[in-house]
Amino acid sequence: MVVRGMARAFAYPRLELTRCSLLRRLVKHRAFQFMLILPNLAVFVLVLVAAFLGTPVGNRNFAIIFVWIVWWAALIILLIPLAGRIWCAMCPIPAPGEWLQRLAIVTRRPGRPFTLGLSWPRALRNIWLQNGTFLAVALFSALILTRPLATGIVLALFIGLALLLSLLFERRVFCRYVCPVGGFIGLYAMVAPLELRVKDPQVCVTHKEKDCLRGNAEGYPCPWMAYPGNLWRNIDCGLCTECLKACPKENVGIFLRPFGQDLLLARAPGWKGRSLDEAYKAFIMLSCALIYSAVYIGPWGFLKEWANLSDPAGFALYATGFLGVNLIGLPGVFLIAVALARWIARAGIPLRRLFVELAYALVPLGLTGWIAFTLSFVLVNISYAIPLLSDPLGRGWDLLGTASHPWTPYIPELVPLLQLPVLWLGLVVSIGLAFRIAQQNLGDAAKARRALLPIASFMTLIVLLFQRLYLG
Amino acid sequence: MRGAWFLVSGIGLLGFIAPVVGLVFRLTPGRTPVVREVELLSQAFHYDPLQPGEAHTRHALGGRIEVRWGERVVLHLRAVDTAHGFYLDGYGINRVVQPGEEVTIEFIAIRPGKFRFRCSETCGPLHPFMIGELVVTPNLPFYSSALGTIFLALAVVGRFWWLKGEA
Repeated sequence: MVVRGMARAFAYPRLELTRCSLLRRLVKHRAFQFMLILPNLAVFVLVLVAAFLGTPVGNRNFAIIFVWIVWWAALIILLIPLAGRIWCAMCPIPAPGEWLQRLAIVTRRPGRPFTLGLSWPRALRNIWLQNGTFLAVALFSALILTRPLATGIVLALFIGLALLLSLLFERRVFCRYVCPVGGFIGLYAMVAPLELRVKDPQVCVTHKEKDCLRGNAEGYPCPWMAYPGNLWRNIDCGLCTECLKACPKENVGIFLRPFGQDLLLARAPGWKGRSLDEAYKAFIMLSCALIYSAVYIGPWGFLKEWANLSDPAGFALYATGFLGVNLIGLPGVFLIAVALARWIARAGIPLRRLFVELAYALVPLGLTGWIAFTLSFVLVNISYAIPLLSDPLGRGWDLLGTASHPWTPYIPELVPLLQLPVLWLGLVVSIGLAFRIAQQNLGDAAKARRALLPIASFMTLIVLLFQRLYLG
Repeated sequence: MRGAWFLVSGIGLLGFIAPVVGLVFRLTPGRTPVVREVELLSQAFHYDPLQPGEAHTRHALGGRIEVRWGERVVLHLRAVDTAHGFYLDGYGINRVVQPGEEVTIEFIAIRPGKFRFRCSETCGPLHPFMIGELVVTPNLPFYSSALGTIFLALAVVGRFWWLKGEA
């Protein structure tokens, strides 16, 4: 078994971006995160105003178009693949709760935080809850994505829940364990070529004060409850840069690295290893990308009606199918593929363990599946954003003279030509990753090669399903 | 084995060429076009294609029209509930139909592959997802790219099997 621990920490090339003094000064500045949040908070307020006071017509309302087309496309196509959890650093939703908890917005206020400071239950220190909250939102997506009021209510609920949890529990419990968006951002952030890590883990071992955990005059204790000395994966870090500010040893930096390094990690000190909750997140995301491609981009009107709650019996069928595919269908087929792999490879490892380990190989494929799905509607619908710059509430204003800009789909017939290489990239990377994970778990390359056959077949089948929906 | 790997990889990548040819270039067959008439009912938030004289069932299985490459397609577009649009990807056709009227749309299916048609007139909450499909057969872009996917997967798996020393 390949073990990557302290001795082999960061066994991949890294380029420390924070060696640039300008960037280092910027991220160490107390106002850094506030300056990231501020413009997003302004847009978020406008989104809420538009959602509650604007026109109920979705494609004429700023809330729908800027959240579910502009923000979503930027998040899934650019921010996550290139910068991981950078959105979590600039997200306005947990900001009011955090500011209230700290009784400060920018400055480092000493003293007790304004919270009961309860510890999050041990049984919930995983992403199962995030899997549940994501499925709940995803199940009602036809309402949420198309009705401004529904979008407004969901966002207001998020902000209220984040505020409540910050008053009850320590630090950013909402972001780490509850946020439905944070769950999949964390999963896919493991692909990104950007990381916040310590420079030398040995320095953290010998540094007894642990300012990053306890906080000091320069920085708050890690809001994500992570210990940078044992931080190996982007999923556990919200890029808030508090540890970078607090570390008196200047041992924390932001690095560029090759894509997907966190997914290759098998073992590391202070990390329990690959887990079923994260494996299930990979299944849920992949299933949802397929289901959404069929429901929203497909020609089946009855599916749209069922998802839209037009018919309660139809919605019950849809919900059963949706949850069934997410929780049983896709994981079940993958389990069969893993059982075959285990049998062909004559592997002694428990089936459940191999199932969890190999599920991480689906992460690149899931991300590219989401990018492909997003491409199918973003180029067609992005032009709805232009008139909204002049008339965000759909009240008949023309502030910038763009209100009458017509809906203009951009190169819709060429979208499959963009989707195809994206899906292929995901397939190639996922098969390669499956081989590496199989090798980590089965011990030798010959067994890994044999185990790869059913897993690669499963992945190929998934890509063919996407292709059937987009091109067939 | 190295040669076999390059061959399989090459075939995989060729799978991308056919969709490019199919979706980008107009290929007009040199024969008299056969006329294909389809009645297309639009209703929030789906299209129901019917053969001439066929009764309308509310939950049609899908808004999918299949024609052969080179056929002259005549669509009789009608709106059942409210005004709907018809924008056909790749053909630049954009029409609006009001309830009670019929709009006739004619074009020659000059490119093989799948082309979506979408509502271009705001008709309700799911308007951006009111989508139908025109499939011009033989659907070369799909079949060739599917073959490309299979060969690409074989090439990646083959990298570990055939290039053992180099993998």
